[in-house]
Amino acid sequence: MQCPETARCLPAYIVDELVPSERETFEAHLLGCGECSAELASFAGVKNALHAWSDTPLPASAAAHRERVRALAGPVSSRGTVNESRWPTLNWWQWAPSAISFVLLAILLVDARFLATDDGFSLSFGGQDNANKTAGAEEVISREEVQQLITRLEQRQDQNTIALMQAVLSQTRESNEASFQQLFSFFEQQRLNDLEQVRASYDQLASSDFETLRSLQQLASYVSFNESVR
Amino acid sequence: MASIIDEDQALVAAAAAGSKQAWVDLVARYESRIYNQALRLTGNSADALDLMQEVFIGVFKNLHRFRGESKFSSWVFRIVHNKSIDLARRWRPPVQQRQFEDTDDLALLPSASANEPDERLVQDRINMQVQALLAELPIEQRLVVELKIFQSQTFEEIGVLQDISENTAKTRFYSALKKLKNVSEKNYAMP
Repeated sequence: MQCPETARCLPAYIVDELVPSERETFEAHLLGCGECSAELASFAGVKNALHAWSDTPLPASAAAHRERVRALAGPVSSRGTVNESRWPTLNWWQWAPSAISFVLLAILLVDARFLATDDGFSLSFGGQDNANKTAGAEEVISREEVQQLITRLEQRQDQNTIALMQAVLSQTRESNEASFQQLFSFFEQQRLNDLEQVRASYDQLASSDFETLRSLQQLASYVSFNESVR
Repeated sequence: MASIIDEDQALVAAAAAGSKQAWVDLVARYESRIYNQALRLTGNSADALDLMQEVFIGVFKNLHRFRGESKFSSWVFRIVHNKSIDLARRWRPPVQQRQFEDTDDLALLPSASANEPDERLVQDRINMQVQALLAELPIEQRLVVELKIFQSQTFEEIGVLQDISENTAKTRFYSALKKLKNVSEKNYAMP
């Protein structure tokens, strides 16, 4: 029959994980328990055998794996050096359409009106008459015009995205699974960043302007009810 | 002088921002460690290289998720842990049990062997004995031994990583040691 202390304390004792008081108690137990002493001695051999491991260098056959791993971030020379400039720089203009689309969509959702008068510019929300509104002396951008503008910008954004992907594939000169996964990850991250930005903007709006938020919610409900999902 | 943890975090941040050089440096820094972990977990060089590659792909795809709350090496080992379980489930028949006679497989010997043949070959033989021992364990026990003996994690940490209680981790470790002892007594002459 096995000593109950063997399974309870021996594993932690072997790897020196008992607190001092537990270790003292177990060492006192070892002095009077032949079974635990024998078990400890036998495990010492196993432990020593495992600790005899010494890290080995990668074999020569690892070259292909190493190159594939390094190339995850783009083409790498056989010496392991890289040319940072070969990775296409993402200039501001490539993401500007996304930002403009977002701003215009927000304007559309809150039914904002941009008024240009002789006295300057003004902005109103919710379609309510503005006290400063002067018939005949203003140029109001209608929702239809904004929608058309958004459509054009979205088309341009799609073209930019396609052009960017083509540029990346052309520069990396790879069309394997890894490069597509890399591209997919990158664009997915950009999409998540955009969503996070929208969420942050919404939170900021919710904490600062309740009236606008209420209009936004009403208009969002209206839009989602009347339009098909893209 | 920046600590290795700070350097890791800097390299991760740069690689996540698109720096190829940072990624290459990160790979160079961790490839040997991951390969050796994979070698102990898979039991043979070919599977270890495949596992290492999968781990690096996993690391690269998740670079932006690394927040620096834990050490990068711990985060990487979590990926090694999960990938090795995936590998074991996908590719079993369990770890190919390499016998000592397999040392004739020159293609799988480390590339440094030519420079220091005697010392390296002796160490390779010792490592193969360890691999052969570990290959006798089911993947769950092998992982506990890897975590406890080679990664120096506490039973509490092992429990968290494997989603088991601390006592279950101890029991698993104890069962693994008993099995290793029996195997070594039966088949191998312990050093």
